[in-house]
Amino acid sequence: MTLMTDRELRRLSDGCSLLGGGGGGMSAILLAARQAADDHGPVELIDLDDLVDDALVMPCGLLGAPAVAAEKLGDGREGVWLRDRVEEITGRPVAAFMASEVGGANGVAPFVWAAHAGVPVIDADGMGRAFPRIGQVMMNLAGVSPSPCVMTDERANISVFHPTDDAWLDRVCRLAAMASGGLTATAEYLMDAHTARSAVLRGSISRALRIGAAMEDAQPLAAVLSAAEAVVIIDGRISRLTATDNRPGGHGSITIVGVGADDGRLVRLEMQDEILAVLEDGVPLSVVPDIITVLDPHDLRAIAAEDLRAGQRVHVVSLAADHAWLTPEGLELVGPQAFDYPVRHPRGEVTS
Amino acid sequence: MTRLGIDIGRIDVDAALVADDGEVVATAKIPRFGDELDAIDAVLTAVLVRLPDARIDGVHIATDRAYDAMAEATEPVAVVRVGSASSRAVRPLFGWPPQLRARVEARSIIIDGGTEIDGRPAADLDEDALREFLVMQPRPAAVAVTAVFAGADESVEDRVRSVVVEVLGHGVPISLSNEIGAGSLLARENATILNASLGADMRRFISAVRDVQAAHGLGSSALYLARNDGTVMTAELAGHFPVLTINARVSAMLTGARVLVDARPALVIDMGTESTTLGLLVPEGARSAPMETTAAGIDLDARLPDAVTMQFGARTAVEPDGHRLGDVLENAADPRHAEAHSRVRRELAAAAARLRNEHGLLPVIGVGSAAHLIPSHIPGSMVTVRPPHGEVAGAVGVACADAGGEHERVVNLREETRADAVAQIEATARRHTVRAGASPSSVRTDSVESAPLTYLGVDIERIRVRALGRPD
Repeated sequence: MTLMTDRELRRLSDGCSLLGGGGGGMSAILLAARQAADDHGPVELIDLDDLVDDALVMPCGLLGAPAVAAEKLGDGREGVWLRDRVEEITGRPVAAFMASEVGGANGVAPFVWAAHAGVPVIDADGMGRAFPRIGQVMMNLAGVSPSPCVMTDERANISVFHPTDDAWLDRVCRLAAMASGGLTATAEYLMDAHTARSAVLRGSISRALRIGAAMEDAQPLAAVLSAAEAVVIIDGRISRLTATDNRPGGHGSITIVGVGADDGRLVRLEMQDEILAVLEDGVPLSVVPDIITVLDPHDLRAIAAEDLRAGQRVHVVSLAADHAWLTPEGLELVGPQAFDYPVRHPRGEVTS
Repeated sequence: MTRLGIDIGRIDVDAALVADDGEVVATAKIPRFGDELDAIDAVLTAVLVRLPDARIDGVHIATDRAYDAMAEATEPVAVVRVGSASSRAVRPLFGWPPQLRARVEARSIIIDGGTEIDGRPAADLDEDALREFLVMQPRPAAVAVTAVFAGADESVEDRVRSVVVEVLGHGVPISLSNEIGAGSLLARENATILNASLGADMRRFISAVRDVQAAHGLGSSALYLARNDGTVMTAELAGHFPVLTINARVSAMLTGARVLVDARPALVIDMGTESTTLGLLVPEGARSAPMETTAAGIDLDARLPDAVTMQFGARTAVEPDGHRLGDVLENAADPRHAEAHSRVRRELAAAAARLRNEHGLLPVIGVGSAAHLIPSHIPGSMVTVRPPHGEVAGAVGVACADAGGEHERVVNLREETRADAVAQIEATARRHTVRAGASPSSVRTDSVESAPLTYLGVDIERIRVRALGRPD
């Protein structure tokens, strides 16, 4: 058990930012988590094995638009309202929260809510990174039902959905999130600890903490790479950003020209909210579900996609996807073809 | 029209008298003794002794006064945030350095109200809670108001202003976030709070500057202050928006480099006695930092220039035996200095790389009192150019700067057409430019930028217009 004090929360935020592959909004969510810890005491980070088999685990996260999250910080008690409704529906107490998604702000949000709710958070998540859709989680692969899904906005406007599958879950939740002003908190894929032991990615939070610790105090790039188990794809400079307009989401591509030892190389990053592929001469060097993140060579922090600019010096790094995503079913859900990229994951199985 | 630019540094005070056609008529550089007012007095004396008959239509000042005032001359502010449910997760001033917070915050409240991103009201403004908060004792020196999504509907903050005036009268200055910036809630709120806290000091300063001006027979010259974005604004407006001047000297220096050398993009290195600042000139002028920058340990939305300052200058000891940077760079060929010399070049090159310039090789414009010491070849850059008058680049820059204004709004394109929205925002930006001191006939639209807000489809855009004009 780890107590998530100020220092841990800062590390978590840095680590989640790297695991987010371009996700942003970290500064406000970190402040929210620190304030919640100040007000209610630090949250306990526990292992899944600390829970008895029938303990109820509540995965949760934010759903909405980053442009809205920059302005609306939330109430802080969203997780309490979700928990209360989940307990009412299931008739069972919620034993712990879990981050649905460790990448980006959603790796930190459960710690804001858990402080208010007085429950621990388990050291695990559903993605090991960030994905755009709610249903792109391990629990989905493991056959856990997304129903019931509880959603609340910052005013405790609470909705309960009983979607038939993950695609419907995403469709109805997004529409409801827009009605609420563009930002909501949701809990879905409720499960007991016994099920969770084989349905989630364990150790995600401690991994983010390790990465965040390596980013502290201007440690060398090698230390960050080692903590993140990452490799540098290219050391270069952004030469062009191309947005694909008229589509919801941050869709587009980023061209990077090599610098120094990578002089003469040219790679292209493909984005759909997160960075999903990096190609050189049309050959994928790394593709989703690998995590592809852009680091600032100066402070080695991950740069949020919306802060990328032409001319910027960057390290593009890649973290190998968790093996659990590389099964045929996993790749169907989160592999390159799930995002309409006509390529195969280099380590993946045949995906039809 | 002839303008006198004054750049108040920590070590030196610089002045440059610049004619309307851009000709630098005279310059002065004197060591600084005393406070900013002593510095202005001394440099005016130095200029007027040499040019007793000079006609000076405007005095333009670049100063760190507001930044320095954060260390002591702040006033306690009543902080009002509108939009309780949607922002309670982080209270105002949470995470500020405790000492600064203790001096700046009188008390804070988060009340109901505010809008959603599309301009719909989120909740009714809780005027009762606001009034109750405002009448509490002690009476605040200033009020800072930030509404959630103020950029989508300015009327919420305007309504709060009316209530504050009703309750506290006209004597208490009010800062509204939509007049300060358009960044995210916390960075905009932080800038608004600092602005309110620094106002009284800035207004006292400006009034004292006018006295010094009058004592030198320049009582009728217009007074302008440098802004963070490289433009200038009237002293009166600066008294309302001190936070927009907190890093203006760097922008004035970059403007000066642009005026003195016609090369863009270019890297600018300003080497002084104790510090060295690097900035980037892009085709549009000085590049500004990403919307939110950290200053004094807090996120701040105040249109700061994108620059890197290094704590070494001509007189900084850089070798264990006490040799100063000046010795090292002047005797670069001396093998005893080889290591220190290459270290300085490496550090400059690294700082240049941090500015993320868009082109591999850029010309370097070397300015500042120690411009002659800047290496002629910085790794990764073209040869260093050292223009005449570069030693007073900041003074030249502030003398030549345009008056600027801007306006930015989140536009719901289901409610209004894009063309109508741009026209309305442009008209406001141009009005702000005149308010900053531009002669109305000279105002021109400098840029129109728009960005669709991601994840939201194409119905909502953030539109920003910037206008410029010649100071009247």
